Amino acid sequence: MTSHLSEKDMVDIIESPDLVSYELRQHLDTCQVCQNALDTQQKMHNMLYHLQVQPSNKNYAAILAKKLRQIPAAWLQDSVVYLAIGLLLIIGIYLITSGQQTGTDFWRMQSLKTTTEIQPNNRVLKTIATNISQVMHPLLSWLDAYIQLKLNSVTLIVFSMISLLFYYTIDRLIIRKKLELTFRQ
Amino acid sequence: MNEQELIAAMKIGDKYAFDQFINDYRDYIFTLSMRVIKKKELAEEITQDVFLKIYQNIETFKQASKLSTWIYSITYRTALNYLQQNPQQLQPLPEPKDQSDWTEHKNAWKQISALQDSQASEGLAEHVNIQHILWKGIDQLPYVQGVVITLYYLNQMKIKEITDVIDLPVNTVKTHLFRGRKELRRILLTQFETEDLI
Ligand SMILES: [Zn+2]
Repeated sequence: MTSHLSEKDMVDIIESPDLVSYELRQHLDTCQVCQNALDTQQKMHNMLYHLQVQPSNKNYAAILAKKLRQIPAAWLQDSVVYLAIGLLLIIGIYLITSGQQTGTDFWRMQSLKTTTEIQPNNRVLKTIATNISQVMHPLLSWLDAYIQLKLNSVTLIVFSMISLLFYYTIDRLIIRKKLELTFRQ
Repeated sequence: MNEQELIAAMKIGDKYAFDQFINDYRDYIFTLSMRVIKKKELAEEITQDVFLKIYQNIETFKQASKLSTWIYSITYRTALNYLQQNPQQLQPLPEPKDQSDWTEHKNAWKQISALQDSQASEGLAEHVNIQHILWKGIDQLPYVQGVVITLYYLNQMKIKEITDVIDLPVNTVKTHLFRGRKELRRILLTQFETEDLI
């Protein structure tokens, strides 16, 4: 005689009685313990089968609908974030590049300072400072050029983003208007 | 409007679609929240939170998955988070004052039992009192069992779908379903001092 049906078996049998394996069926036919357990489960299942929803407060739906209307939709919130990021980028790039001193200018000044201000007898320090300036100067020239280039690409990206966002908003407004008309019918 | 159209309309922020959505789901979300929270006012608050979350995250919903699974996992997680943050809500059940409610139900049960020969179990289950009795009994179960029973019977979900909602393995869900039914029966038999159910 095979072992008793497991809890899992009972759940499976009630869910799909037609799919019970031959072994389980055979055991079930001869075992009063399993028959009783299954009968108990089946009775509770029959009662629960017609379980109905518990109604929530009616007014609360209206309150909620009102509350939802007051919150800007997620996509609108996203749009605001994109716009803010775009604006910040523009401002940042403007600040970096519009100052009177670019990176190159700054290091050229430093280079002059070190050669004139550091005492002539402190040769080691002077050599180090001069070397740093000499290394930094071409590096910064390159960075300056990069920033100029980046400004162009960032402007391009921000401009495309704003255009896309504009298109997206208009597109949604149109679809929305259409749907609102549909719902009213 | 079918589910796909409803989601599409909600994704573009349509108010009417959301109104329909609220009407379709509020009682189901509330009923599921009740199983975890077990207090009407709090469950309504959870329901509001769930709707706000859905409203704000509908963009991220993938059409490939089922809307109901997504909604009920949000509901379950929101209610569970609430419980974790307010563990004092996890009071041992049943509460003493509930006994008087059972007395009231006991009378209803006697009337229902008297009908059993002449009426099919289906008609009986439609009886409004039996709904109260069942929910009352379910609320005496550990909340996971109550949630599994609710998802399985009320929301007509498959075991596999339930595992997605409550994030437990298939066999564990089956065990909860089995033990929930068994324990619910024991509760009802004890409360109604009867030897068998309909
Ligand atoms: Zn057996």
